[in-house]
Amino acid sequence: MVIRALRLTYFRNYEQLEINFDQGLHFFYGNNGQGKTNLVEALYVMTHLKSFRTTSLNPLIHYGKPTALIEGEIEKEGVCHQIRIMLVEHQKKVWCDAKQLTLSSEYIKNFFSLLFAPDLLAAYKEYPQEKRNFFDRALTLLDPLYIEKIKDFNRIRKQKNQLLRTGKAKEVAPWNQLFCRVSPYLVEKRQGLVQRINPLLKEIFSQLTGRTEVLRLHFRSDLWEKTGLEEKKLRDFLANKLKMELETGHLCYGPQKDAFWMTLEGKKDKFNFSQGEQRIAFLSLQFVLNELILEEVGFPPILLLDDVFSELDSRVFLNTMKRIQEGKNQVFATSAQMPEKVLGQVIHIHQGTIQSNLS
Amino acid sequence: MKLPASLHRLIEELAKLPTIGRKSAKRLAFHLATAPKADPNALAQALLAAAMELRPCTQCGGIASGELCPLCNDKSRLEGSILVVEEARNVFTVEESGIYKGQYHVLGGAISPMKGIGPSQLNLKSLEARIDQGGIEELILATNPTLEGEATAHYLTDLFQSKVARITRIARGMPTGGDLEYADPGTLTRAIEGRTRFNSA
Ligand SMILES: Nc1ncnc2c1ncn2[C@@H]1O[C@H](COP(=O)(O)OP(=O)(O)OP(=O)(O)O)[C@@H](O)[C@H]1O
Ligand SMILES: [Mg+2]
Ligand SMILES: [Zn+2]
Repeated sequence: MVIRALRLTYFRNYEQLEINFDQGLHFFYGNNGQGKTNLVEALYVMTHLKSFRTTSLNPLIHYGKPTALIEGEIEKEGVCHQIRIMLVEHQKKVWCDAKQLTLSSEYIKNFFSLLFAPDLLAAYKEYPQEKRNFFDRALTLLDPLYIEKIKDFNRIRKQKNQLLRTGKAKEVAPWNQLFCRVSPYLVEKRQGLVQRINPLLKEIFSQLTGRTEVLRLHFRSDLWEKTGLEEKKLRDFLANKLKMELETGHLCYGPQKDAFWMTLEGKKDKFNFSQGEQRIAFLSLQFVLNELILEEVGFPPILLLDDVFSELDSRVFLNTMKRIQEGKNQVFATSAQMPEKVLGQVIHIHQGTIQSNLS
Repeated sequence: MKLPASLHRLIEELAKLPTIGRKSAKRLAFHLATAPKADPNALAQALLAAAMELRPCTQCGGIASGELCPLCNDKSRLEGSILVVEEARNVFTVEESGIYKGQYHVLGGAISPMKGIGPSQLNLKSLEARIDQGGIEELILATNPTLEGEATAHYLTDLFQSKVARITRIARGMPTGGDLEYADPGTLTRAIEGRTRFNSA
C-alpha cells in the first residue's frame, strides 16, 4: 500500500499543500513547530479517520477557517483510490472514489498504517485503556470479525452498566448471557496475539539493540484466571459477583480490565524502563505487528514514525534505519535534524510549506 | 417567505413522521395543497378513521379496529404456539410469508436499559396471562437479531422456561435470496453460529 499524493487545504498550520510520494522512505525535517507532526497527523487521519493527538477533530482545522480538507491518492494492490476527507467543526465527511462513506469500519480495515509517535507512546505507557485500544486495533486488521465483536461487547457493557447504576438487579441476567457469549472471543484473540508476538519481539529487540535480554509482552485476563473461560464457570462467576457489581455500579470483571505489559528480564516497562528502552520496546512492538500484518493481509502497512530517533543511541538508530530500508513499507519519518545519508526523499518543512524536496 | 398558517402546520405535522425529512414533508404538503380537493379530503378521512378506530389488540398487542385483531379473531389459526415479535409491523412481515399459522404476540419494543426500556415497559403481562391459561406448547422468539433483541429473547426464555415445553429462537443471519458474497462479516458470523443441522441425526 502506497500513499501517492497528499493535498491539504487549511489543515493545522498548512493553508495549501500539494505533495507527491513514492515507495520507500520519506524524511520530513525542519525546526521545531514548523509542521512535521502535522503532516504525519494528516497521513494518520487518511488511514484511521481520526487523530492521535485529540479526540475532537476541531483543532485540526486552520485557525479561523470553517473547514479543512485532506485529499489524496492511496494505491493498494495496483488500484489507485481517490480519498477526500472534509473536516467541519467536530464532524468529518469521507469520500472514497467519489462515493461518500457511511461506515468507518470498512474504510479503516482497507487502508491502514502503523504509527510511532511520542504522544501515542506517552498515552500507551500511562493508560491501560490505550493499550487495549492499541492491540484491539491490530486485531481488527488481523481478524475480520474482531471489530464486530468488540462493538457488541462495548454495547453490552454500556447496557449492563446502566442497570447496575440504577440498581436493577433482576434485569441483569440476559446481559450476562450475552456477555458470556462475546467476552471469551475477545480474551482468546488477545491471548493468541500475545503468543504470536513474543518470539518475534525477542528477535527484533535484539536485532535493534544487539542486547541479549529478552523483551517479552505479557497479558492478564481476570476472566481467564477465574474461570478458564468455561461457559458454566463464567456464568456462575458472574452471578456470584452481581452483588459487588451493584455496589460499585459498573462491571468489575471482563475484557475491559485486561492488562498488557512488557518486561525486559524481570524489569517492568512502566516502572523500570529507561526513556530509550520505552521507545525501543514500543518500536519493536510496531515492527512485530508490521510482520504479522504482512503475513496475514499480504502487504505491508504504511509506517508513520514521528520523532522516533531522538533518545536513541547511534547503534539503535543505525539498526532501525537498516530495518526500515530493508522493509517493503512506505515510510514517513520526521526529525528536527537534517539526516545524514538517507536513501529516500528528504523534505524540508518550514512554516507550513515545503522548502525543498530532494531524492 | 411567510406560508399560509394551515400549510405551515401541515408541513410540521408531516415532518414528525418517521423517515420523512423536512424536504419530503414540504414536497408532500405542496403536492396536497395544489391537488384537486378530493385527494386531501380522502387522505384526511382515512387518517381520521385510522386515528379513531385503530388500537392495540387486547390479546396480542397487534393492530386491531375492535377488541381483537383479525388474526386473534380468526378461529382457523392454530392455538398451540405463539410467535413473539417486537413491533406490530413485524406481524405483517411474517404473515406475508404465509409460513406460520399460529398465534402472535407483539412486545412493543425490546429491552434497552440505555433507552430506559425494561421488561415492565413491554407488553408482557398479557403474554404471561395467555401462557398461564394453558395450551401453549411452543413459544417462538422472533425478536430482532440485534443485541437488544437477543437480550429480550434471553429474558423471555428465563421467564417462561418452566411454563412452556418448547421455546425456540428463529435462526439469525442470511437473508434468503442473499448471495454469500453480499453478506457482511457480522451477518455471516451470526449465520454460521446459528447454523442448524442439515443431515438427519
Ligand atoms: N489549527 C491550527 N491552525 C494553525 N496552526 C496550527 C493549528 N494547530 C497547530 N498549529 C501550529 O502548527 C505548528 C506546527 O506543529 P507541529 O506539531 O507539526 O510541529 P513540528 O514540526 O512537529 O515541531 P516539533 O519538532 O517541535 O515536534 C505549531 O506551531 C502550532 O502552533
Ligand atoms: Mg513534532
Ligand atoms: Zn391480536
